[in-house]
Amino acid sequence: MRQLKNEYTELKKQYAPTPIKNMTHHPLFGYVIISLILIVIQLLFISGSDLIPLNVTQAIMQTMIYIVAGMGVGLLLFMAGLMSFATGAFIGLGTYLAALIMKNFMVPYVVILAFVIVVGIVAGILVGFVSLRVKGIHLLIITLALATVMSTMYALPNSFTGGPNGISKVPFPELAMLFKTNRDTMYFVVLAIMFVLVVITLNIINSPMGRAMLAMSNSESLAQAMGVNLLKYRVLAFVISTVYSLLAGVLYVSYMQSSIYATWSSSLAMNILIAACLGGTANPAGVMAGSFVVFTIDYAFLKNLAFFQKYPQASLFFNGILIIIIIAKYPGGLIRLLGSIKYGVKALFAKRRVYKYGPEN
Amino acid sequence: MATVFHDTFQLILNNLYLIGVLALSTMGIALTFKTANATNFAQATTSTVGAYMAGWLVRDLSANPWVGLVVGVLLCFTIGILIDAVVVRHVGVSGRAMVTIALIVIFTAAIPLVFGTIPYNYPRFFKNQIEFRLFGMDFNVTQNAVFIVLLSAAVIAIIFLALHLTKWGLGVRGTASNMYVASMMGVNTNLMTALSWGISSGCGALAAILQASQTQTISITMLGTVQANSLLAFVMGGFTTFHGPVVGAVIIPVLHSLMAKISGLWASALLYIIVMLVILIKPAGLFGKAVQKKV
Repeated sequence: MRQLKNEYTELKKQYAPTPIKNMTHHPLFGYVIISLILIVIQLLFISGSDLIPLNVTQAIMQTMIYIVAGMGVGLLLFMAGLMSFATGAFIGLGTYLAALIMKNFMVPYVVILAFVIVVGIVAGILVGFVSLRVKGIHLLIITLALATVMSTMYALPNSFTGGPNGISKVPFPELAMLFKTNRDTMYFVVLAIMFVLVVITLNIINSPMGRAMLAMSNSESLAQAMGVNLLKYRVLAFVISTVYSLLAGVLYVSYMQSSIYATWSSSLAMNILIAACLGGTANPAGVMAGSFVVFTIDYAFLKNLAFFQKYPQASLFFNGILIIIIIAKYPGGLIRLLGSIKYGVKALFAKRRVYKYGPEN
Repeated sequence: MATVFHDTFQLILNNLYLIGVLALSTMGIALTFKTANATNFAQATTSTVGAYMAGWLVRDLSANPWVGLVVGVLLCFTIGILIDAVVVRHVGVSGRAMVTIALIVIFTAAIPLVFGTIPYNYPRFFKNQIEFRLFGMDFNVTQNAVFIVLLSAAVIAIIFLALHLTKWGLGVRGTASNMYVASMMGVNTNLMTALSWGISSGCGALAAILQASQTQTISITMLGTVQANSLLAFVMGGFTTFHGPVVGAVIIPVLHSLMAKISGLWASALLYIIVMLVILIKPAGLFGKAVQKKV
């Protein structure tokens, strides 16, 4: 018996994962690596090397802001099975609220974020109650109407949104009342907030709340039979998504310093929805992959070409084709595509091993 | 009081053409929803292709506007059939809305590449104004708007009659009520859905060209509000019937004119708020029945 036990401990020691392997299997490992890469890109840009031009960091910056909103959309779409066109309008609301506070009051940045989160919770509860009456595709149409109402209101002449001219010259926020940020350092603030939200999203997905949402989206009756309160989780899903959108708005206005009503149309919501759909999962990884494909490539590279400056919409052509192919042939999205490429390569190596050394045992 | 009535009625007459345009567009959306089980968010964008084609024929080949109308509708009919045959048929029911959203992106990207970025002009079919007296007050309406309403009413009536009298209509109604049972009964459901897509896109192109003839411009965003309004009319009228959406499409422009009388700036916001309230009170629409789901 003792011998067996000793053998077992020996084997366990032999096959124990190395510290490096342990680290790579941590769920946050990939996100840390991505964040490090993004930090290096920005550091290279600040150091003044010609490797990274200005528009690349700006594109990455905007993508990060849309990733924040996209994670909310992804949760709504893939966990709760609901769709919303109002994302763009809510991002706009966030920009206007943040601009109003930053222009008129000297308050810490955290207070602005907290205030916007409270507004998001209230708005999310309202939309969530609506979603219980209207379902499926009709909810999407209702949110389309809501987005149109909000964007027409933004365009009306008033002091809150600045009317058709929009607002501009919003000061950069001061962090902890100590150091003033500028365009370059704001990048790191956005990255940090995005990382925190990624961690929160991952926790939501694996929490009982996320499982309840998943059950609700798969079968409402079954979920109700298992004791899932539909109203509670619908409202929660919308609250989370709205809060994320408003936070994205705060980040947008603190980086861009301006906001204009035309940006917050339903076509922005459409692009974010497409990005989330390209990713194919509620996981932030999927949303990130989709957003980098949809937004970064467009903003960083295609916008510079003369052809795409003449036809600004044309850069979205391939995104449209891509999303149709993904939906029709590959419902798992980009993340599953990457996964199957990885397994394909592994299988290829296994085949090569068998060819070279003969079959095992 | 009399002047208020006069102004409101004149506003409704000015927007008379929108009733025809919206009704055609909504009819198309209802047709695809009932047979192909897909809410077509790209209805307006697809129709814009037809309008551009007609505009191109009239501008560059100096064709008759009637020829442009026919060619544009036929082009969109083909595009609709192609959309069903190439894309929508191969996608699961849950992904179809997303596919139509992707189609919006594709068409808005492709149209400027093919037709250029400068908006086109389109002539009116009839150029006269009609002036008439009602309750001792003078009103005027363009002959073109009356023509648009009459033509769209005729087209919708033909589609309704075809739905209820012809073999094609029986097939469509069968497919709408249950696709699998219909295919078991020998209905070629693929052909039915393809034809529905074609006819609905054709209706959309007709709507687009008629609107172009009234406003005399063709641009990429010409049908932006029509798209949102027809989706709302479709939900408000009741999506379980064929006639509900058309009634919804008649109500919305009239309501919009009334709201414009109350406040010009807030007209569309007020309209959407009212429509949203109606849908919240009656989620199945004005004429629809709530479908009880079996578990």
